[in-house]
Amino acid sequence: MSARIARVPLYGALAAVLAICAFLSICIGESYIGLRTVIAILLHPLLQQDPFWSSADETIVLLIRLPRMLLAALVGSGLAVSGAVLQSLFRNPMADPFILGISSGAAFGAAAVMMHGISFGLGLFNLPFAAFLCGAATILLVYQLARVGRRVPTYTLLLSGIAVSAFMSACTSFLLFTSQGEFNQIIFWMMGGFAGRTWDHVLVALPFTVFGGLAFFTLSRPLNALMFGEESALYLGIQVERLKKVLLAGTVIVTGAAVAVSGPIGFVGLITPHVVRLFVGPDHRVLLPVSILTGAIFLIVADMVSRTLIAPAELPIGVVTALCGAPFFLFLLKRKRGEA
Amino acid sequence: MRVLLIACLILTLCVAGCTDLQKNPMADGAGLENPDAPGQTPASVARLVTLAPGETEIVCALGMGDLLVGRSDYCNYPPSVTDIPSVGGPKTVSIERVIRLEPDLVFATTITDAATAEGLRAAGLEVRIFRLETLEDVYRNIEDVGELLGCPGNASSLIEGLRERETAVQAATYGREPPRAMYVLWDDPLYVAGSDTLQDDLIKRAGGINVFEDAEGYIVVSDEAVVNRGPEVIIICEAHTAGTGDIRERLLGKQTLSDVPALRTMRIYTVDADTVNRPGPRLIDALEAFSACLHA
Amino acid sequence: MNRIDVRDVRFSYGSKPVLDGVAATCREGEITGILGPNGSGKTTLLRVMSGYLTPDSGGVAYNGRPVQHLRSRDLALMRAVVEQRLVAPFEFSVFDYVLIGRTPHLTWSRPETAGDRHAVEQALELTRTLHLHDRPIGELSGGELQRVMIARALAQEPAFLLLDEPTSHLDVRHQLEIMHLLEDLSGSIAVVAVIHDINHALAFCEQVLLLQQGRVIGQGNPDDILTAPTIRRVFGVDSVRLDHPHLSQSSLAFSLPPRTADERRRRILIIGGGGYARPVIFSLAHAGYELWTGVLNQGDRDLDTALSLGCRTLTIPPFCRIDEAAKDRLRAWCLDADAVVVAAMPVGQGNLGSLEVACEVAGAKPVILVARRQAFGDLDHVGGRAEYLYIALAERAHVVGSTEELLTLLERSIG
Repeated sequence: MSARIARVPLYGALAAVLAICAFLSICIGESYIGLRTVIAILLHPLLQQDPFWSSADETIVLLIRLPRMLLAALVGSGLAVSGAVLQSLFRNPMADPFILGISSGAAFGAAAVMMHGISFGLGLFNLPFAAFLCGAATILLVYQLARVGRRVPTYTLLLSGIAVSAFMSACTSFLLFTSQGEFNQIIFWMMGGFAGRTWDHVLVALPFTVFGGLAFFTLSRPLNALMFGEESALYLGIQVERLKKVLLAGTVIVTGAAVAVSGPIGFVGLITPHVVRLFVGPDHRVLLPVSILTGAIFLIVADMVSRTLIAPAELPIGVVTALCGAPFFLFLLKRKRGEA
Repeated sequence: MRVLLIACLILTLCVAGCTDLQKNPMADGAGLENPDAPGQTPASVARLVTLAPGETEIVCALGMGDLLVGRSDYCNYPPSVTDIPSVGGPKTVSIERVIRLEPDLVFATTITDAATAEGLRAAGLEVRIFRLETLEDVYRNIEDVGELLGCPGNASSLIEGLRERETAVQAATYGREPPRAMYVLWDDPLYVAGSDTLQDDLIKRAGGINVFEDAEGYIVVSDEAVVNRGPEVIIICEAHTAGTGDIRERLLGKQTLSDVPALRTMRIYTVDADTVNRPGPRLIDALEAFSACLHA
Repeated sequence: MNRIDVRDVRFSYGSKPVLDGVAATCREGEITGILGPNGSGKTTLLRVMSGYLTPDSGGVAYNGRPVQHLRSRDLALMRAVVEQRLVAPFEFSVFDYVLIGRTPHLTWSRPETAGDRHAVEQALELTRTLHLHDRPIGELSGGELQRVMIARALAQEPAFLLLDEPTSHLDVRHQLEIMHLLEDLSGSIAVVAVIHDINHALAFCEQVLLLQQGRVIGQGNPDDILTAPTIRRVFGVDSVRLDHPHLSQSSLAFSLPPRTADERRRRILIIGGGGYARPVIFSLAHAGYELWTGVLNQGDRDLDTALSLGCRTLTIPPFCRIDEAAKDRLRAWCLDADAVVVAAMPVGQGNLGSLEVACEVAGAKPVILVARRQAFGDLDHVGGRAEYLYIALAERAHVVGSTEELLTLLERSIG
């Protein structure tokens, strides 16, 4: 494997794949809408052509498929880049965006809000807001628990994350088990997915994901240094504790926004960085942008599969990401090892 | 080593994914024990425990409410049954509490946890499991209960009355163009009734077409599928969980669904959850309500 | 002139003190070697010096600026650290890895320039690793990796280079290459290295800092500090200094002290001179005997050897003959020793006295003559007197032809 891959062609190729997948995702769905119609609808704001399509077609393309695809792309890239960052921060290949308990905390928040009818007066975003709040609070708790004086050793962070995560999951189970009545909604929420997501969700996720992704990207050099150990990074003039705080805050924002709008979607954040590393190596200056693109492609495709495989019903997207992603990843791993 | 680790992880994820699928709280009972054939019952029943509201309602409708010594948390109709001690919710039945009530007979359903039924049987209790999936199941269950409790006469007159009402519903809409309908359990994501569900049965008997009859059981669907199938009537059950908010308002507020005929014409109706979801005698009330919604 | 001042540093992990009042100064143009047995606080001292650990009291200053007042990035622009081991994602190419050394020179808004790449290439060239440029660091050999790690530190363009055991795990050639590299580098930057190998310290360091249990036992020129008694005290080994036949440097050979250290060591008096006793002195010192030697003129080749091995010596000024007073003292020493060993040597008027004393004590003490019998005539430069004495001695003493025989005999006769 060449450690220095020509970057421009790589980005170009990935962007092309992303564009194709994104377009396919807008074309494919339960109802048949012709290619020409889709293109015409998409270009309508530019060309102001007389509509020859039904308003239902327009709704489906512009209000359902397009935001859904964009949300999948945002969430996929957010989770993938967070996973890549956390794997480096913890120097642990099993780390994923949920390792510190953000998803179990968010699930607890969602469950509590649904069970007890707590309202923040946010309508549709009542639940995402509660999920985000509880997810972030959980990470804060984990961080405080892991703190030893002024330092936060990563291994205590990891351990307290796992412990608090288990505790929050137990709390959610307790809520579910003792609740009266339906808890479909929480089950649905915990499985994650993009069914029924709208432009509003996209607009909520967009600033967090873009801001977080850019922040990570600017930190790719310190991240590279951090991979060689905290002591080593310190010798290079990096304020390691501050860097850790910034990285954690970034992943909380990006992952929290993703979890809030789509529920916890597993596997993307764990596997995407590994797949990308197999091809471009561990250098964050390449790893992060490629993870962003690959994560977006992965979730767009997974969402496409989830809504077409057993149409009109939808498969939970977590099932799709695991069922398609795992064998693909293993195949790549085997083949790469074989080459080496 | 790493390959092995990752393989294990993936396996776990797959298994976790599958269990999630099975966790569908509205599991239709497939794969559970088949209902018992009638005939293996105590000579006379003096103490009865029911584990499902539908059965409680059947027992009371047959005038045998006095036999009840235990009920489930959900049994709240007729209101008088709330005085009877409860043995827990559908997934939290306390076997010990049931045993302490010393019943001659326990009524369970295919939705009851199989382990609970087995536990009760192991404790030497007589347990009857009823299937509760269609209106026909209700008729048969009423008949069976009547026989078990020694009041077959009450049962046949109750069934007769209910069948008359059903026929009246069908007669009232005979010959009309069947409206395309959709039954919504939850809106985010859209969770609807497909074929082989109680609500699908009700829509059909009330003279409508379930737009999602090509899918089986309760399913999550995309907004697109709803737009594509364009139901003329949407029926939702009145939310009875605290804090779920108003599904009707949220559906009406959804821009993506604004082209759906039912929402354009405001033909979106709320029915009482207890009557729609409980396969008891009041299911005919639900049928009448469905008919009213479909042909309003 | 760049310098690091360490002032009275105390440091403890919990309640266990690791550094107990360490003071030192390291300058540009020098390699300062930090030596000491395991657990003496070498790595901790380096970490305190690097600013990674904050001392409980005392302080470290770079060019007079206390390290805690320096921003970590400014510090990184001045000093680089080569850690003992590399924890790494091994897919990084050598170039990208060394480029990480440029981190303090870059900010997120200032991407690397040709200048940075040039600095990296220069660092690779200095460490002679330019040919490894594109290789993943996981594929490097131990020596290559160590050099690449140093290259990364050099890419930082530091004025101070701190290294923690840069030659551990390397074969001898790579060890020497690294040490020579440090020697070259120390011309323009101050090099401080924790060094395991005392001989490296002797050969390459301008200054050593010898630590024992967190205290500085000695600081200064390695030849002054690393003497046999000090090494024995600090490391608990005996050492013998050996001169390199071609290079103007010496090295130490080490041995464990005799196992019966608590018993009284057997004392042997060696009579020799002119370098003829050296093999005897080496092998007996090595075997753990307490050695006295006499009578030697100052400047005698045997005297250097004897002193370097910690022998007690009886000397007289250069070119003097052994007078009666010296003979008396030699006689007294002989009677104090458990055995007397005479290394056959040419005898003139000057050293005739030693041989006479040896003959005198031959009845009272075991005396061993290391010589070839037929050569006695050749050793006589005093007209037969010496030959006569040798023959007389050979009759009363044991005669052995080699140091191995000598050792066996001593083992048998005095244990």
